[in-house]
Amino acid sequence: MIKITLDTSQFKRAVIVATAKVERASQEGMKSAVKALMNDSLDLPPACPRRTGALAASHSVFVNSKLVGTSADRPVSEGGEATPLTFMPKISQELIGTLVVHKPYAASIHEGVSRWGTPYTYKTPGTGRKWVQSKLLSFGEKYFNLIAARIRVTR
Amino acid sequence: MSFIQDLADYVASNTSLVVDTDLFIAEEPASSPDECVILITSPGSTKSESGLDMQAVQVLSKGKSFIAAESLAQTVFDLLANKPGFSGLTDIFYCEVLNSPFPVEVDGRGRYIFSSNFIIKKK
Repeated sequence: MIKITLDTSQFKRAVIVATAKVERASQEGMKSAVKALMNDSLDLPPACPRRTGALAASHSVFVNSKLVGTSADRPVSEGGEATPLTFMPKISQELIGTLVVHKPYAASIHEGVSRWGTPYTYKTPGTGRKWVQSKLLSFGEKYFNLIAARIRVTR
Repeated sequence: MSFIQDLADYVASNTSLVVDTDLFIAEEPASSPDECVILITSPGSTKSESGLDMQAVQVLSKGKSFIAAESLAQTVFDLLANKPGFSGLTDIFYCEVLNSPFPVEVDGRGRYIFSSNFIIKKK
C-alpha cells in the first residue's frame, strides 16, 4: 500500500495572505480613485460652481464608509461655510467609493436647475452643471486603472 | 438634423408629448405648460472602446403636482431606459440609464422637477 500525504497548509496560508493583500490594495486603489474624482470635479471644466466657494469646499470622499479626504482646504469667501461630511454609516462590506457633496442645494445645482424654473446660470468661467457626472463619463477608465494598478503591484 | 432633435422627435412619436408644445430642447419658454419635458445634452461625453460616441442626456420633467411630474418622468424613462436601438434612429446603438427619475427642486411656478440621466451610445 502506498500512502501519500499532501500538506496544503502552506498553500492555504499563502491564499489567505494574498487575499488580504489584494483587499488592502484595492481599498488603497479606491482611495486614490475617489480622491482623483473629487479633485477632477473641483478643478476640470465643467468644474464645481463657485460663488463663495462653500460648495467646492464641502466635498468628501469615503471608501467603505471610511473618510479618506475632504475639500475643506479649498478657499471660501465671507458668507460661505465649508461643511464636508465627515461621517457616514457603514453601508456594505463590498468595495465602495463614495463622493458626497454636503450642501442642501448641491443636487439641484448639479442637475442645472434653478428655483425659478430656468437653467441655472454659472457665473464663474469653467464651472457648470454635472461637475461630477461629467468626470465619471470622461475619466471613468482612469479611475478604474488607479485601482487596478494598485492591485497589480501587490506582491 | 441634430442628435437631440432626433431624440426629441423619437420621444414625441412614442408618447403624447409634442415638440415645442410640451416637449422642449435645452430650455423651456416662459409660456410653457405646467406639465412638460425638457431634453438637454450634458457635458462629459466620450468615445467607447468600440468607437461609439457616448453622449450624456438629461431629461427634466415638470408638473404642478409631485405625482404628475413623476408620472411624466417615468413615461420618458420607460421609453428610453436600457433600450437597444431606436426604430427610425439608425445611428443610436443603445441607451443606458445613469439614474432613474428623482425629485430635484420646486420651481418659481410651484412645479415639481424630476431629473433622470442617460448615456446614449451612437455612431
